[in-house]
Amino acid sequence: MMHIGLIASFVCAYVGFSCWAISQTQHWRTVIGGPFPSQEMVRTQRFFGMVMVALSLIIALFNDGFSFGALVWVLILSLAAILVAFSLVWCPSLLSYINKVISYFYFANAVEKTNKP
Amino acid sequence: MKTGFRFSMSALHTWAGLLLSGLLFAIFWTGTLSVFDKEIDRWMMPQTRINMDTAPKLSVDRDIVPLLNSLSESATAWSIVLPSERKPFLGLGYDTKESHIAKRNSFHPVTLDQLPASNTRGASRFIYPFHHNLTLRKSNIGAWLVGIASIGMLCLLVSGIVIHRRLFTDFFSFRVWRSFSRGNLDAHNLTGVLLFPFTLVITLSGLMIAHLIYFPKAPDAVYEQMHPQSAAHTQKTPAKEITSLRQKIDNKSKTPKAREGAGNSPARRRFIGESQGRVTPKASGEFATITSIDPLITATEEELGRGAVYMVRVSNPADAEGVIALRLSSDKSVAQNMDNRRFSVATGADLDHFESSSVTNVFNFLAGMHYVQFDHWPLRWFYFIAGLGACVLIATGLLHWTQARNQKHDGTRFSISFMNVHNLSAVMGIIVATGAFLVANRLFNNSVHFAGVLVPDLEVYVFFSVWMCCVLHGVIRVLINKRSGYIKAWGEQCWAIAFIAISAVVLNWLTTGDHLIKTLFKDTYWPVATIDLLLISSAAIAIFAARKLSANLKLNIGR
Repeated sequence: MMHIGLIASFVCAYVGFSCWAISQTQHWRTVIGGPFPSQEMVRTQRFFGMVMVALSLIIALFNDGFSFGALVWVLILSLAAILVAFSLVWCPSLLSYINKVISYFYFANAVEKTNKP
Repeated sequence: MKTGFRFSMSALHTWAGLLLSGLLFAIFWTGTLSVFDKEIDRWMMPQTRINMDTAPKLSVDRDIVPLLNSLSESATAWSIVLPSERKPFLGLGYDTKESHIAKRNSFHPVTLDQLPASNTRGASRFIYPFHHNLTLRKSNIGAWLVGIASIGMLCLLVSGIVIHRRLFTDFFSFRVWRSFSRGNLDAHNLTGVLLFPFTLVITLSGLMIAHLIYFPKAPDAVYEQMHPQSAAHTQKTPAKEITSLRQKIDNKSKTPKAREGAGNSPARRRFIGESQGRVTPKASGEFATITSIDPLITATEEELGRGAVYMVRVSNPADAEGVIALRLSSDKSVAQNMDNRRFSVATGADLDHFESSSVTNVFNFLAGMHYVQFDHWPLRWFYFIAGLGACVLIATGLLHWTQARNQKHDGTRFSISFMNVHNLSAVMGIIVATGAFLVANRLFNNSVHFAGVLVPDLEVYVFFSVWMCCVLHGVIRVLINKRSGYIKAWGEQCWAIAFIAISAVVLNWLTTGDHLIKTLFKDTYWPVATIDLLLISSAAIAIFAARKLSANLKLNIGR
């Protein structure tokens, strides 16, 4: 049970950072390609990223208690962010899948409203 | 000439990095290995590879007290460290009529036979001390050097963030395919920014926990002037009892030197007594039979949880004024647990509960966060990975300085050649030396002497000799070819790491019979399997790096 909570917290942090990474021009080009989304879409992506990171903290605190949870979360944040950087190099398609899933639920048709980068 | 805050910070970052990075890499490397110090100990001390899964719980009254009575009839103190998952043997400490210096021996947790002596320092008596004092104990020179390097690390971290021009834009950038120098700088920025909370807190807590070395007179300044009644040292102990305890601590200074806290000033002893609850009461001279200890442990564990007691310390076991102290384990909290429960040796009556004050608990949290002694395996692995990340941060920083200059001056300047050798020795040298330390341990295979030298010392000599050989190898390679000799040396030392790591795994199999298939599947023993797997992974990474360097060298020559 402890490990499931940890994995969930890590996945939330990873998805959160993926959203932040995709909302940056150079990483959008690498992962998605095509025209850069609107400012509104970027803001929504970053907000969703923040929510996921906050969710990761909540799961870590519930899973491990305050002292262990806080420490675990700080390390999860660092390692998840590094994993996102590695994914951008070796497996950008993983991030594009994450973007597809998020777009499907939250940003349907938002990509159509685009700005130039 | 450029001026301004960012330029000053850049100069600070460059100079602090050039001067301290070699030392910092050694500190972070050994610190990272110390996260698994007990597991490395099990690997290096095969006689302590005991599986605790099937071991029955020991009874202190039935199993340990008779054993201690038979070992030393007139001991003034016993210490009983109960077996645990990471330290799977019973540790007993006792003094004898002949000597007040406590003997410490290990016993099998099931058969209670004394385990053969481990003729090695292992990780806990070499790699871990190297991390905090570089094994230079005289006048605390090593600890001071580590302290200076830690302050340098804090400066490097903060100045690094200040001079990073594209902190948010390049937050996730790792352009490894573009060029070596681009990928190297991105790796430096990535680990520097993303591991910033870890590196900052681990460096700061490392400095704080050694406060008594850096500020030795601080307790004197406070405690010499303080009236005994003015500071309550526990939350539960009444003032009267505190005074009597203080008198007992002060009386301790009249006892032989081997006693706990001897050699410290009275103020420091009072400080340690108040902050850590470590007191040794005086004997009354009146004989008493020791009470049953098991019910005391059971009652404490019923209240605080299974495994809450990790150590039993009995002061004056055959005296009416003797005290049984149950020290509580730090397994279940980040904070280092200094709390203990004291009972009378004669009656088993509850004498005192020591609980750290709130202020001490803040310190205990920082110390616990640094020492990583808690029972939380995922967090332990996170520490290990983050520690390796910090090593990458330091190594890529060093390489960034030389990389730019190697391309510009073709390595012809002395300063650049010097730094090329320095980087090689600082980064690869200590990794090769650590591997050689493990190989030496398996080659000597727990012998007491070799060629008239004690094997524990010999292993340390091997470590430093191999490190010096790596320096010499770098010097020779750079002297032969200033332009690309250092690349060749890096490649060759990568091959050395791969060879040494595989040799260590094979030697472990040959000398103990514990090969990976056995430790993973047949007779699962994770500490040894983990170290073997880490060695094999290091070998794979080293071979990959050596092949890349060899390709790079061919390109360099072809240029």
